[in-house]
Amino acid sequence: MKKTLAVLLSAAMVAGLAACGGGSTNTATTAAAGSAETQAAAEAAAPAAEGESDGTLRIIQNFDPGTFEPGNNDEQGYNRITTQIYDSLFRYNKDGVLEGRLAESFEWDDDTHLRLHLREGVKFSDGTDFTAEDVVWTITRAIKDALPNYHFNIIDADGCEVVDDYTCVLALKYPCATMPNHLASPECCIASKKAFEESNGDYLGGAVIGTGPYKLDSYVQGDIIKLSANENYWDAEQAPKCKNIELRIVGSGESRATEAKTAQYDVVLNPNSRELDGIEAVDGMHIVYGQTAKTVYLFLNMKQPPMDNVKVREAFARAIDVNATVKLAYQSVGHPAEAFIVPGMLGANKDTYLKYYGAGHDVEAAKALLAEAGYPNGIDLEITVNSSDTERCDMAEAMQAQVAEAGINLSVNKMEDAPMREYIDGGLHQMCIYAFTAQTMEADGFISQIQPGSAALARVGYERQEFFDRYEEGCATLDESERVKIWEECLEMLMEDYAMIPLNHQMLWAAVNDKVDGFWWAPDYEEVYYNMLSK
Amino acid sequence: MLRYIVKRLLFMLVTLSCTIIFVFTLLEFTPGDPAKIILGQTANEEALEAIRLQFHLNDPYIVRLGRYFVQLLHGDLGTSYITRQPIAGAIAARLPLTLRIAFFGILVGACIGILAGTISAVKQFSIADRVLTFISLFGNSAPSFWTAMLFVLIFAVKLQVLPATGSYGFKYWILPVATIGLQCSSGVTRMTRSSVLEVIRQDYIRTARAKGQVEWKVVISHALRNAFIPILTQLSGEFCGYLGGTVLVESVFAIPGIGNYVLDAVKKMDTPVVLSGIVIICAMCSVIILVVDILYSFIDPRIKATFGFGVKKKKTAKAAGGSK
Repeated sequence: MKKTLAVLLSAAMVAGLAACGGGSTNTATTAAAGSAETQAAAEAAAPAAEGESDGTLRIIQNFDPGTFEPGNNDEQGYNRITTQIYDSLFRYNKDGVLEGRLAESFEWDDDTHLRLHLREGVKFSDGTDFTAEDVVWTITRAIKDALPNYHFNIIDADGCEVVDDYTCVLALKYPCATMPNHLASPECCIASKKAFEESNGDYLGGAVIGTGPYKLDSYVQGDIIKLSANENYWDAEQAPKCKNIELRIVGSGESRATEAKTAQYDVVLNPNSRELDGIEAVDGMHIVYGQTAKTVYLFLNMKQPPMDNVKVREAFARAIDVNATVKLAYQSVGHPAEAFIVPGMLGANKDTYLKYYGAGHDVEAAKALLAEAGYPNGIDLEITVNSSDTERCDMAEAMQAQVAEAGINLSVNKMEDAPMREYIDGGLHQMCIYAFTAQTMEADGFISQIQPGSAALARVGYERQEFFDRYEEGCATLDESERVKIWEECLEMLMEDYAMIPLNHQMLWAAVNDKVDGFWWAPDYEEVYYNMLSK
Repeated sequence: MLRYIVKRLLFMLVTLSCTIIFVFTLLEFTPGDPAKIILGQTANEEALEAIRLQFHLNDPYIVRLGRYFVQLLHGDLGTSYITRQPIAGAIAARLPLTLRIAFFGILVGACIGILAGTISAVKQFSIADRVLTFISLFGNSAPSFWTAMLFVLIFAVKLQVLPATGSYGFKYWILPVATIGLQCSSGVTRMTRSSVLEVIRQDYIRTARAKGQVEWKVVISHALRNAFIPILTQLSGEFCGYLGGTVLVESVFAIPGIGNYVLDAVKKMDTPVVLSGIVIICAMCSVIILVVDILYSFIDPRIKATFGFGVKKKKTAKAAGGSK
């Protein structure tokens, strides 16, 4: 009897675990179409044999979305997934030109009212019509549910109005000439109101209905996302070339690099940058680079002594060697700063940048500036970096060695991301390394992030009223050339005050199989449009 | 027996409650404002306040702790700050993967370890003993991520006979299970060797041999069975450890297990996920320890006597018979 019980107990344990094997995918799978994933189906996730093309694009990327709610997360990795399912009102094309997507055109009723003329005949993936009601509902719901979308925060939810099925008016809290650019952000994708209401807001199931090129088939959390072509997709020119996509989630950059080296996948996004030469050496794989709108900066906290002294800030700028630092940390994917924001963005001016930072690394000048500031015998400073960002840690350590020659004793404070944000947003740091993306492809996409009311303002502790006033003027200026002049002035103020030192214009890279055509990185928010890829 | 199990289940509830209070309190002291983590660097104060209200972040500590207990009683593990989706679904998706590689890793480790440990003990000071001791020390010293990467380089990149990452079928499990199995086997080998050596010098082993019992039966039925309790304890400890601690193996092989999920949540300060993840791991460990405790009584009858399994009934029956 007792032996039987012992055997039964052991058998129950083994059976329970064995059941985990077959049933795991069922539990985890969110099947938009209601289909349950089986182990056999999961086996299909394995890459096809070499040379075999089955119309399925197999991609490895790093982000696990956890949900498919448009605008739920401001991470590029998240929005790279949602843009396959949802469309935005506008979008930047390959040449960086803003083009209409769900909105065909726009006009300004006045400074704070933007009238959108929507595309007719667009259907959601469930076959229902896309209307102005969906646009206004998406925006107002995102604002009321406090989704992390600073673009929508410019909009006054109560003032938005549906004029007819294909026209709506967005009311803004303050004039913002670049509002259409903001609406091109993948965070501003439009969802289906009907699907949301019918599924009770289930963004792992019934609410995942968009007008994008693909629709969600299944999702195994933390593991794999399967998409198939949306047969109701409105844009015939950009209809998906591959009918199915399998997006595998691999968090570690080293593991992504390993998979890239096996050449079993079509695209591997952002493998470890130190492994790129090894991947290039593999037959059948090549690396595609892209320039983003993101710049990594050294923030100098102007409210924290001794960084409140402009001479000390300038001395630090002269004591570091930006080119050497970036090349050391980022190696082949480094792009040392050439302007205050990424060249090509409206407002970027290389000449102004050279005027302030062009003299480069000059230890003697740094020493002289420190002496002028009242520190002839050197100074102790601290730089805060995200401990999980290897490149930024490497940059901080390189700077530590460089500034020592100028008598600056720099200590490197490495912190985890969340506590670091708390620390720097509280303005407790002297310096920190962080990045900003000019998502609107204009300088305001960056400047808007250091305005009063923004948590990020504490990272520089900037208080120059003229800067804030000019920004507001720029926002209200519809004429692009006039606006660009204002952005240039704003950026020059930051340079003049040595509030920030631009370090690296962030590059992106992907390992792409030679049989895949059409891969490119969108510069504004690092999207990849998988519907344009063929193999 | 039933009484013992019920008693142990009640103890388990107390352990879980203490764990929840401890972890919840510990997370209270973690620096960082969850609202800022949720909304990112571009959030304004108005949006931050809306998030604090939505997630009841302004409520006092005791109110939030009480609310968490009430949620748990309703089978609700809470909502992730980051995805705003129920945590239960995410854990249900990941837990089986972790359980699977941990269990089969332990199984492989136990098979290799018990066999190697027994050979080592029976052939003490022989070449086989020295080689196996060296291998077990090496296996114990080599970090699991290093072994995992070595396996990937050899079998996935160079030989291309096994997949490097993923969890889509038997061949995907071989490398992670081998990694865990190798590490686990080294500890089990050493434990088995020392336990069997201790038992093998006992009088009853000599008696068994003297009465002419064949050697393999002496080793398995007499020595190994009596040496099994510390080995089982070691295996259950390893299993519990691997439930939450396979994170490095999960990371190298891109297995979406619970270890990775909780670690990711720690980085993002997604405290409800961290708390619920730890509660689930703790509950699983409690169940494993309970099962192992029950198994002890079948391996060693003295334990049965200590806890009175079945003994009381017999005595009562005898006493009743005597009075007649």
